Formats: sequence, C-alpha cells, structure tokens
Amino acid sequence: MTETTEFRPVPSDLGEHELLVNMGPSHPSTHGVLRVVLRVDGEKIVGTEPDVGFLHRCFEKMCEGWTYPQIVPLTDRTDYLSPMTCELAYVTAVEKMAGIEVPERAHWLRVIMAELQRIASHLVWFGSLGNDLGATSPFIYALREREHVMDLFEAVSGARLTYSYMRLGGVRQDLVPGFADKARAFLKLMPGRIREYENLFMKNAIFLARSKGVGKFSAQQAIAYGASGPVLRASGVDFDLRRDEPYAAYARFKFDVPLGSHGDVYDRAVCRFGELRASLDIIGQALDGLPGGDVLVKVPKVLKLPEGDAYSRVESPRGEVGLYIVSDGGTSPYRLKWRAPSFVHLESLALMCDGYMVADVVANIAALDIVLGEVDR
Amino acid sequence: MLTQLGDYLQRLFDQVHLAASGSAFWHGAFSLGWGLAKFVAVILFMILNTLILVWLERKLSARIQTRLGPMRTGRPHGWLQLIADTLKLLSKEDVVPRAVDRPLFIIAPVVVFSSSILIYVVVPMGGRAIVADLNIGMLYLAAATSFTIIGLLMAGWGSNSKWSLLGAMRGAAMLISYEVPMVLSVIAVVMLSGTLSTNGIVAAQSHLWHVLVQPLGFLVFLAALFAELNRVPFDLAEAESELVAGFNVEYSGLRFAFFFLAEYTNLLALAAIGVTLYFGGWQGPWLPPFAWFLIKTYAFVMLVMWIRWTLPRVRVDQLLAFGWKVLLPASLVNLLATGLYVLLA
Amino acid sequence: MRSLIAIITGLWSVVVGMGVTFLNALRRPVTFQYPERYYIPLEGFRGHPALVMNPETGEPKCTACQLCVKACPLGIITLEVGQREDKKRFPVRWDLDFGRCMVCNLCVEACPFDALVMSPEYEFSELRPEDLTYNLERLKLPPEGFDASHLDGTVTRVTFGGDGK
Repeated sequence: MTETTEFRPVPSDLGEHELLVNMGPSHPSTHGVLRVVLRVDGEKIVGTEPDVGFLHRCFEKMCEGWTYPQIVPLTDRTDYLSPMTCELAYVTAVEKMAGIEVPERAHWLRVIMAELQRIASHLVWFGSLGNDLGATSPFIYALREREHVMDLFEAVSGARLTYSYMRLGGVRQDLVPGFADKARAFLKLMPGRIREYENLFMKNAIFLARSKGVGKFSAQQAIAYGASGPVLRASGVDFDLRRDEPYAAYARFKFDVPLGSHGDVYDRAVCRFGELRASLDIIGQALDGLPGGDVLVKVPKVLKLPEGDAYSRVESPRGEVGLYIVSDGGTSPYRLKWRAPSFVHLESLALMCDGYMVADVVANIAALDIVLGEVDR
Repeated sequence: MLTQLGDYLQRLFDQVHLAASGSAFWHGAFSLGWGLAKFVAVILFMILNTLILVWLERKLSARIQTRLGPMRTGRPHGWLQLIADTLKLLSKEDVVPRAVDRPLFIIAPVVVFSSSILIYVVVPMGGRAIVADLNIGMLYLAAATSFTIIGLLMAGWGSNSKWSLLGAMRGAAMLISYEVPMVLSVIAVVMLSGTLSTNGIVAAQSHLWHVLVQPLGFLVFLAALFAELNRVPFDLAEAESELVAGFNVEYSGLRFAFFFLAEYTNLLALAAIGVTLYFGGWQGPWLPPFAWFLIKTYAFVMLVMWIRWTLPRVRVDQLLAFGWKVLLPASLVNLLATGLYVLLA
Repeated sequence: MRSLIAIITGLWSVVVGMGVTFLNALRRPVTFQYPERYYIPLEGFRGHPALVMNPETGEPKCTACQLCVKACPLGIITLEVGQREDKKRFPVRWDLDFGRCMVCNLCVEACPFDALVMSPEYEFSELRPEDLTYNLERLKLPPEGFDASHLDGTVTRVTFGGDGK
C-alpha cells in the first residue's frame, strides 16, 4: 500500500464529527478553476477556505514587457465575461496619465458597449445561477439572448469574446450601418424575456427558499471587506461608480441603481437583475442622443507616459475594477496592478458560508459572480 | 384483427395449460416456462422503453430550451444516439478504484437496477397483460421501491469518497422521508378501490378516474414521486452541480450505465403505477388497452420531464421539512377525507 | 393559515414557471445547423491575418517594412526581405505562427499600406501542429475574401441586420 501524499496536512483541530471536503478545482459550479476547502459537520459548514491560483497567467508581469497599445487585447482576457469594461478601465487609466482627450462620440460609444457588456455578463450570471441551483433551462434561455449581444459585438469589433475594441484615444471603429436598428430590436426584445426569466426563476418558490436569508452580509461587513458593485449594493450601501464618480459619458444619463437591504443571495440576485433593466434604459438613451464626430484621436505611435502613477476605476458587472499604473517614463508600464472585484469578494466567501449548508456554498459563489480569470489574472 | 389474434393465443394457451395440468411435473414445467416467457417479455419491454425514454428526455429538454437535441446519429432526429451512448458506456474501461469497498461497490448498481425491475411485476399493461396479478400488489410495490435506498447507500459508502457519501446520505434521508407520504396517498386510493391489486384498482376506475376524486392525493403522490425518482427538484442524491455526481461519482462504464438506465427504468415503472392509481390505467375507448397504457404512461412521463426542466433544486433541509411538515399532513388529511367519503358513500 | 397561503403561492409560482417552459417549447429552435448551413461573417470579422493582393501584379501589396513585426505583442511574424529589380522591397518569406496568434488586430492596424486584413475564415483545424505555421501562400487573401471551394451544400449568407442565423 503506497503512501498517500497530501497537499496540505489535515488541521489538528479538526473536530470529531467534522469532515474536510474539497470542492476541487474541477467542479461544475465553481465558475472556473476554484478550489474551496470546506470543513463540514454533517451538512453544516464550519470553515471555508478558498484556494486560488489555478488560472494564474502572469498577466501583470506580462504587461511590464508590452507597450501600452499592446496591452489592450491583454486586458480582455482578465475578466473574459466582460472584456469591454476591462478595456475601459485600462484605457481610462492610461488616458488619464497621458492627458489624451477622447472625442465625445467615443465616450458615448464606450458607454453603449459597456452597458451591452453588462447585459451580456449578467445574462451569463443569471444562467449560471440557475444552472448551479439545478434549473438548466434558464441557462439556455439566457445564453440564447446573449447571442444577440454577441452578434452586435461581432459586427463592431470582429470577435465574439475578446473584443479589443477600445483604443487609447477612442474606440477602434464607428458603428457599422444596421447596428442601431439591431440594437433597438434587441432593446425591444429584452423586457419581455426578462419578465419570462422572472416568472420562470426569480419568482419561483424554490429559488426564494434557496436564496432568502442565505449568505447574509451586512453593510459594515461589506465595507470592511472591500465589496463593490452589486454585492455592496445588495447589503444596502448606495454606491455606484457610474453615478457617483462618472467616467466616459455616464454623467449624461439617468438610470436606476437597485438597492438591497439584507445582503443575502436573494438581494444580490435582485440587484443584478435590476441592473439588466437599467442597462437597457441607458443604451436606449445613448442611442437616441449619440453625437457625431470622430471616434479616435491620433495618438503617437510610440506612446510614452510621463513618470508617475494613476489609479482609475470603473464599474464592471462584477464590481469595481481598478487599475493602478506606475510609469517610469518608458513605453511599457513599470508596474500595472489590476484590482479585481472577484478576488476581493472571494475573501468574504468564508463569512457568507460559515454556519450555512453545503448547498449554500454553491448559491453564494453563484451570487458573488466571480470569474476566475480576474481572480487569478 | 388483433382481438382475434389475442383470442386465438388465449385458446392455445388454455389448451397447453390443460394438457400440462395432468402431471405435476409438466404443470411445474409449464408454469416455469410461462414465467420465464413473461420475464423475458417484460425485460425486453423495459429495455426498449428505457432507451426510448432517454431519447425522449433529450429531445424534450432540447425543445423546451428552444434547441434541437440529437439530430445526427440516425439522421432523422438522432434515434441512434442512445444506442451510440450505450455502446460507448459498454466499451469503457472498468475502473474500480483501489480504495473502495469492493463487494459494495460492485453490487450496488445491480441492487439499484433490480429494485427498478421489481416494480414491473405488478404493472398492468392491458386487460390481462400483467406479470403477476398479486392480490397484495400495492404492498409489494411499497416494498420494492424501498430497495433502492440500500443500493444507494451501498454505492455511496462503497465508493470511499466524501462527495458520494454526502450524496448517499442525503439520498437515503430523502427516500425514507418520502416513502411515508407516498404510501399514505396510495392507501387512500386503495381505500377508494377496495383492493390492493393493481388490476383491481384499474377496474375500480371504470366510471371516474381517481385523480378527479383525490386531487390532493395526486399532488402528494406527484411530489413524492420526484423524490423516489431522484429527479429535480428533489435530486439531492445526485445533484450534478453541487456534488459533481453525487453517489455515482466514482462509477464509469457499464456500472454507470446501470445507474443511468435504472433511473429511467424507475421513471417508466413509477409513471405506469401513477397512471394505474390515478388515471384509469389501460382503460379507454376505441384503442386497445395496451395502446392506452402506453399513451397515458408517456403523457405522465412527459409531465415529469416538463417539471424537471423547469424547477431548481431544493436544499436538503428544505426537502426534509417539505416532506415531513407539508406532504405528511396533506396525505393524512387526504386519507381522513377519503375515509369519510368511503364511509358515507 | 399563513403557511397554507405560502404553499399555494409556491405551487402557483411553479405552475407559472411551467407555463414559461411550455411557451418556449413552442418557439422555433435557434440551433444553427452547421455545416449544412454555412455562416459567412461580416467584413470586419477577425479570422486570421491575410495578405491583400495587388490586383494588377498578382503579388501581395506588402513592402516588408516590418512595422507589423514590431507591433505584434507575441512576436509571431517572421519576415524575410527581398529586393526586386526596381528597388521595391517585397517579402520573400512571410510566416505567421497561427498557433500562438491571439487575433488582436494590432498588426493590421500597424500596416501603413493596407496590405494586411483579417480574413473571415474560421475553420482552422489541422492534423499536425506544424501546419499551423502559415506561410506566404497560405496567407494570401482569396478574391472573394474567403475560400469557398469546399462548400457544396446550402450556403447561408448572413448579412448584419438581416434575418439571423
């Protein structure tokens, strides 16, 4: 009988009735390669420990070797379910440091793309929430609607996932003819489908029982743990970067920001669901009032940023994506730090899971909406 | 023409039976032969229908999700897909992990599969087409369905894996808890029909289906059915997205095929029982009884699949709370009401 | 009493959900039956970088200025420069390691002569990894934008804004 090797020794304070269960890196519900080590007492969870790093691809180190324009497609691949907001975070930071003035139309296009991206990302979130909780049909319906957004993005940027659409100084190209019509058709289609999702899943008694009161996260805890985005708003803290610290053209738009109160899975779900509707509203306003003009200003081919540092943050569907660039005057950043909201939220997973049951871990991870690409970078 | 053929076969059967009843030896041989023939027929029927059910599930789930389902293996609508899947499962390597409890691990699929087959003994498929018209049919059914729990626990414990253990414990708790409301609602039907035999229950519905007299009992039975079948919303034993594959996580190849097919065999059998109890069994105008049996059973199966693809999964404590605090009182109320009705009517 | 109402509302929500699934079952399936129907992407689709041909000379427009080589973040383009009789530079060898290409479009944007575009091809499977290193011949852009010789069934040309796939 050969010896078994253990990656980590069993903790010495493991109680008599406790079991150390490994929700391993390959698991249908961990939204990627995430390992969560659970200490369970029967079905009750006594301890949670997320173990990340399986998807680490040295993103921040690679950025130190690439020039500023070259990093744009790289940022797509951190949060691969909402690349537009990642690119937006990056170009906002670099333009802030370099003092590049982006034309007005480009700002509006960036808003349109970011909001379309928010819808696409929230559809994936909704689908995986349904799938993790056992209902496969909402998953397929959500992805079916997301295809429309993918078609729009494919028309304007040429790809369906890694768009590489934003550039330093604007966006890559203007809207193709027919984009506005197809986008408006999508805007007309979605409210009916959202109502369907509500009837099918969000108002379902089983979902309500699975999500109300699960993973409570108070406002003080949310602020202390650095939560942002829908997770923060579900706990009752009314803070939305698009409204409170507007970037791109967000200052022009009026939109709802859904707020929760208990900070449980249900509130997080309702907040994200409400954001779907708000995004449709913003896109409608943006398409109506789109100004004319250029979409890209000329930026020197070899771009050197002045020495110094800058931090910029945007509201991605997951929360606050922050970018801290330190420049030493060269063509590549000296240091680029990517503040990923999913990574920050994973630290609060232990708080949300302890005392609940094994099935609630899955619901909590689904409601946090983490993407391992940005957790591990 | 079919009835003529049936009458001819019946006369032939009676002749052979008469000839064999002379000596004890030939009578015994005849009974054995007839039993074996029925057994083989039922097994063939079961296998064929299981394969059809798997295909139906995939196609129905696809249509519900506005997609097409299997289309290519077997050009029109992928009817060869299931044969391909079965062949694939059969050709896989038989992996028995080193640390498992070998006897339990190997026998568990057989136990689970055989408990599904046992139900077919009392399923009435037509006028006299039934394997054995036991006069304690429903009691036998309650006993046969309880077998699954043992197989489940054997699989979960024998796999020597924490995930399968969790799945098996949940599954066992669920199956035991939902036996009680199911049996209570069956008792109410038995009280209405006055007999435990399945053919007798079908005969008692010649004027009025039981589902119209006992809607509450039917709902309780339906909820308990999902628990017995291990299907969403009550598929805790095998919750795919939480426990990877629950109690059958360590199984692959033919053993997994046993579990997989056992689930669909169980589905068909319990759907047939549900139709017998509540929807009048094989009775109906114009068409031969066997056709009605198939139509009603498949309609019931499609209802079960429709619910499966709509609902999310409940958590285990909510499941047990629902079973004991909601279904059990409801089935008791149903039983009381039925008793009063039978007494007064 | 309250729990009875909760049960009834719960049951009703289940029934409503089943209604939604039923309605969806009646919709037309959205599956796109590839390859019986072949999707031709829009013009800006990023397939693989392709060399635009000069219609008069039949040679690529590329002047081997190496700007794409510098722009590529992964360094997968290899160029060998040659010179013609009229002192015009042309690429003797233009290799692209497509196995590592991330289709980011930076090389296309760097080219000052519009000699590089992204072709709308999307069927790239090869049997050997070595075949994924494209050479000059493979990278020439066909006249219609993509090589349609292998298509024999129904070809669905999808225009953006028209009927979906």
